[in-house]
Amino acid sequence: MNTTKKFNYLHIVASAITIFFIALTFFVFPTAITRIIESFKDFGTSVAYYFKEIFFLDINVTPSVINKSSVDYVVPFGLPQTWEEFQTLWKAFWKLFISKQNFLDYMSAISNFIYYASRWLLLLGVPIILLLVMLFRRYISTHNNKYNKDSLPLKLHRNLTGKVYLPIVNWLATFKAFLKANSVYIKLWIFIWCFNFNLITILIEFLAFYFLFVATFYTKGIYTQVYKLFCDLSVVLNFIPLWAWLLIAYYIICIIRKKIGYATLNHYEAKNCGFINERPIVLMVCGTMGKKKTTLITDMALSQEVMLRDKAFEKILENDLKFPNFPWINLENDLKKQMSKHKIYNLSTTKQYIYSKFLKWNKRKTTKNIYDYDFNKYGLFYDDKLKIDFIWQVIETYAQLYFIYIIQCSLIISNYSIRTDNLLEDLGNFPMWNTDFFQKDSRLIDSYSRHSHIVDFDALRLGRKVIENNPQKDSFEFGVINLTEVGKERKNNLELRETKRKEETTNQKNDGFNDWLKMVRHSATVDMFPFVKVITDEQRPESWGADARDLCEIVHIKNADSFKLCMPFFTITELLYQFIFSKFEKVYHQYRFNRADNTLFMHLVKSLTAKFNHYVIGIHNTFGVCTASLQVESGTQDGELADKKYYLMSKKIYSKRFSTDCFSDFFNQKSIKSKVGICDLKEYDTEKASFEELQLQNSYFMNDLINKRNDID
Amino acid sequence: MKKFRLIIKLAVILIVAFLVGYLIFTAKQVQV
Repeated sequence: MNTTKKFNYLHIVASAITIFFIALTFFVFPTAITRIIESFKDFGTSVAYYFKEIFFLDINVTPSVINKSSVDYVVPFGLPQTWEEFQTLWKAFWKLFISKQNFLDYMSAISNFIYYASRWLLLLGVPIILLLVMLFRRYISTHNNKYNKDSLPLKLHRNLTGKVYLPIVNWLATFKAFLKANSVYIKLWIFIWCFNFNLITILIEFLAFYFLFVATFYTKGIYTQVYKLFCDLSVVLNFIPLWAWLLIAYYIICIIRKKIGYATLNHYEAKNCGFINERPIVLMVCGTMGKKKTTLITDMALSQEVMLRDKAFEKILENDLKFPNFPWINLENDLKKQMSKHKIYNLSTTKQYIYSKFLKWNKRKTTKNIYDYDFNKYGLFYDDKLKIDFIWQVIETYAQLYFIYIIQCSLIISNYSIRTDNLLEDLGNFPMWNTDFFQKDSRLIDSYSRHSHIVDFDALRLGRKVIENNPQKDSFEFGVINLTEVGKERKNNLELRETKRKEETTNQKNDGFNDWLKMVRHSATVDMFPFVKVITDEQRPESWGADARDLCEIVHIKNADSFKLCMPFFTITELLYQFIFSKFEKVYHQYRFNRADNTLFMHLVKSLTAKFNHYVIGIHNTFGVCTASLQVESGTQDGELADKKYYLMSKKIYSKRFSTDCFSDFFNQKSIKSKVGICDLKEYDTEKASFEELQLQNSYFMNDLINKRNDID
Repeated sequence: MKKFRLIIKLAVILIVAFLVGYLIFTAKQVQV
């Protein structure tokens, strides 16, 4: 009941606004009506003239578009009426532009401005500033402990915002939602204002002159059209004040710079993909602590996942074109049905299913048994000039590629969690993946995010398993395997010296992991492309045994620059922010030290600085790029190091992608058992440790020294 | 390096503002 009432009420408001805008057309912009009538007349005569010229019609038509408007506009920029006048003024302009006297006059005008500005500043500005500084110092140095007590002005302000500002904001939000739901009002308002500002007239006049021009190539009339254009634009130029134009210009700059920023991010992502594609199937990223190793391998895994899907998509089309008349949609629908029944859940079951379909068709060769494909008409073989492909081979490949493409879960299998947010857009036909990393709304990511699969190392072992009869032991076929700290899992030859291949228990020497690594591409190859990548990291290459490491390419992280913005035209905002923030920081810390109450001044300053801070942080988090300098070498470590670059982009890699302390829960479980915290640890009494204090260290070194002393004694 | 880039950027902004100002000033003088 209430909803209906509110709905009607907002319709009345929107209608009232519409009527107001229409009224403005008659009372403020009456010339727009005259101009639209003229433009229709111009258009009509031009079109008539166009047909007269094309079909050599014998009719008397004079195109009126070449005439000036009857409306007496104030022309902006003093634009002359004729081309001759314009030429004279143009020459005079450049003559004056390079004249010394004009330049001196300009400098004199600037000097005058600086003189008057500094005079006012010195006479009025400086005393006011000094007074304000004195008052402010007194304000900031006032000491009190009124914890969280609001001052009277702040109380009044809070009341006012609560009763006036917030209801207005809420109402506007409701109204905005209403307009979004009833977009007809917005469209109508845009139309009315385009009409008022002669924008529709300009469009019709353009078409009118276009028809005349293509029929006659009447170049002399071009200047008149430019003049008329400026006359028509004078309405909007004069109606909107300068400050509003500045705001509009700023808004347009914001849009342009964001577009450039996103284009740059996509360019860097393409470069990263190129870097990953150059690497072999297994690669190892090395670098000391804090060098962004895990960040790098996570970033690579995210890009690789997208590339695997893109590759499947690309190959689907290749196979589609082999038999262009095959109804692939029937096959796709069948596959989706079998997947929902869990009859198809990996590449092998896909192949098995297609084989069963082939056997059925082979028994009874009807179009129904081959997805309604008219093979008698369109054929069963495709010749690529290398070999002959049979239709069922192509169907099998297509089905596997479609399976890789369509599965909605992440293609990443890792020993730490990675969030993926690729979106499958499906209208019931061929679905499309939205794999953009940079324009996702951070408020919505939780609603469609997926996480990487938990790696079961038994699935990566060809030999003995940790759990015999593990149901997941044969589960791995394709995907991106991401293993952080791989050396701690696999260990090197030195650490495994005591471990024997023939031991009863499963260990690194008898589990066949290295054999799996060498053979990994075999399970993942579809249509001659390996849909697999193994990405690992470790602090030093030697931490991983040579047998496995020799298969890799080693990527050393030389250094990672600080984050820089890839969005242009942000310098002034950045400078302004740094200036404001540095001032605020000083004042705020002093205020927090001296006072505990809340005042209106600090409330406003803090709110505005916080808003500015949120904006700048948002821009940095969206368009921040860190360039990592890498060195790539062969896993055998006997080749030359090649210098490469990789781009880490904040929006992609720091948007809740992974936890830098991915194993912290282990340490948390350990420390929660402790009854002692840092404050409970004993401190040294003086700057020199006593013998008793040294004994408390439980150090090998100290214990050795103590034992040696005891031996001497 | 960072400061140098900043100075260059500010210098470019100032030069552009100066030139735009000069263009507008000359245009006004022509009309007078």
